[in-house]
Amino acid sequence: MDRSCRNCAGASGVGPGSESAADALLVIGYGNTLRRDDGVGVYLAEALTARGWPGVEVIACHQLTPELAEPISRAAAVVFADAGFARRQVRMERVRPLTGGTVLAHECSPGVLLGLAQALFGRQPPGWVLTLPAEDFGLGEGLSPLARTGLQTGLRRLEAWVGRWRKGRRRGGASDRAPGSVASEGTAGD
Amino acid sequence: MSQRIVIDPVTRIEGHAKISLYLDETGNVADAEFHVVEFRGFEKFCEGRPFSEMPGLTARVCGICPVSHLLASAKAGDAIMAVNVPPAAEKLRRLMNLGQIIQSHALSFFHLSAPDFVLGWDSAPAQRNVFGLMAADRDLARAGIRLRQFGQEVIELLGGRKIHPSWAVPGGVRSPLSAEGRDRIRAWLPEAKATAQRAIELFKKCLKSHGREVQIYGNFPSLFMSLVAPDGTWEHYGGRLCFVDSNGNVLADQVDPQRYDEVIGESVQPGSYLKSPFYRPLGMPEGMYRVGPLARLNVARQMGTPLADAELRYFKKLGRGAVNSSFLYHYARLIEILGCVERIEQMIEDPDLLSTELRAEAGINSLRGVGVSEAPRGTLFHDYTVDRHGVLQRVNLIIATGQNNLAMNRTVAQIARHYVRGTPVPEAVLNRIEHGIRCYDPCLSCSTHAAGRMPLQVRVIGPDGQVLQELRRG
Repeated sequence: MDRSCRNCAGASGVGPGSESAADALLVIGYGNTLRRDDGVGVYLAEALTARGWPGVEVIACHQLTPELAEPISRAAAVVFADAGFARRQVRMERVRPLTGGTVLAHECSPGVLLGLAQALFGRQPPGWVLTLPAEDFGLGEGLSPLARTGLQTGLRRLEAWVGRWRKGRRRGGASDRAPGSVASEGTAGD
Repeated sequence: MSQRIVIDPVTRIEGHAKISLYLDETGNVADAEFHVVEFRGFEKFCEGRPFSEMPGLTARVCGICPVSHLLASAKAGDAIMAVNVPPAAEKLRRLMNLGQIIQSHALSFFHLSAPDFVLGWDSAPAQRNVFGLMAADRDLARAGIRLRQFGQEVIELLGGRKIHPSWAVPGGVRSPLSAEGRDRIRAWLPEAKATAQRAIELFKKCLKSHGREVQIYGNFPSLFMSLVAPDGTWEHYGGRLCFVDSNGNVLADQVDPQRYDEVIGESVQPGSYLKSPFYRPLGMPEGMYRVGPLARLNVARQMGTPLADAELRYFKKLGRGAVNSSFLYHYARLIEILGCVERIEQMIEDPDLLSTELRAEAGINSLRGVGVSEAPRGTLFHDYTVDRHGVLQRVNLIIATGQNNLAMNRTVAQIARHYVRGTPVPEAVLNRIEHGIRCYDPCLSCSTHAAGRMPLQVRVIGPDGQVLQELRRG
């Protein structure tokens, strides 16, 4: 099921009486598409929506807000996709929940959201951050060549990661690590 | 030897500012100042743009309350075109504003302010946040987050996105509510109402143990201003301007918003990029007035919905003619949430919400248009002057938080005088001073039409320029 629309938090599933999707992987791509490469996470989310991967729910949003804690709490795992300032490589890293820190109207970190999911809804799935290369955060729309290439690399890496993750789940026993995840996965153009 | 204490930035507000406290030789607070030190310049760089772009442009003044700017800007465009928007479009704009008020007030209460009076001013800073609130009452914290979610969903179901929806335009709106969207909103209403009522009961309980805060946090006479309906019913979108004094006496009523500048002047304060509006007939500083939930409830005679009206009657008993304590902004916010939920309940079955008759078309029929609406934080003015091609020649924005600037200064000084006795100043006292600002729920991103981040620094400076105390946060 896709719940992606630009700059919305895919809220269609979280109203009263909505059903859970406990087996689904949730991918949240976020950023400001009016600040060029800052929006690469949103572009990734939109690309995933267009591809329609089964068992993957997608949210594209402007920023991480506390309301995301509920859909996160229902997911089997969550991947946060965002631009990495001055990063030239795609990285996939495990993120740990935080149980303190600032929860602002317009800004939460992935770790804080995981902590919120546990604190408020009693469940916190394993989480990862997919950092995409970015270099141009100026005003305007569209991605730099680096970010465009990194986006495609990120999509390929994420697809491979999802395959390994599903295999790991089918073998049974929730793994605390993404199977085969590495800190650095090559250059943006790889 | 006098000293200056600086709180920079103020935490748990939208945007950034600093507070300076000036101590005299005895260590008591002689004066205080609330600075906003960011500048963006929307009023200038919008000159030369077509007025039709302004809803989209000015919505980006702020990522917190873009809907407020969207609606005020669209109304200014309506005035330039000299059109009455179709009834369905007005109802939809109203629905979006109700959602905006709910989400903004929910954020202010549950995330920004409740940690203080629920957990205590002296509680450990590391716990005095929404996580601490969750530990104290998980159900309430969860309900608060979902209440904000409801308000945001109303905005998204109408505008297609939560932030910067480009939906209201001069002449009307772009699209109606769908039947599915109406059903989703309807499904939320019982929970939203229950959460609002629960929060009100919690706050009333807190009031019993916060009598001192009611007396000290911004409790002083001032004028109050808001939009209001001709019969005195609370307004958030239409109506006309009304000023009342600290005893509830009406000074000016049903003032045409298009002529706001006949009653409102603006002054510039040194050391801050905030403008300070004032009531012209009384000049400065007597013409200081407050806006926002406290003002709206002081101006209105009724909310127009049963549960909110019952709370309004209780609220009005907390003052004599008018409620003057800024601490009671929190209560006013909760009453407005309840009133907004009730209003949505009343209007959600209206078939006009699904209508496609949503736009009035016209050319440039007036070279000046003023759009006024009630943002969550207070009355918002967009004043555009155009040439005959509709190109902006002059833009004036009066933002809710800017109108509260003088009152925030005075609130900071009042709290500081009660609690500060030289240095070192305990963290709990600093938090009380900050809370005085938070009562107004200021959006500093809007007020200087600004955004940005500042490093955290609190400095106590002696008259010789020597730093006597320095505190840092984060």
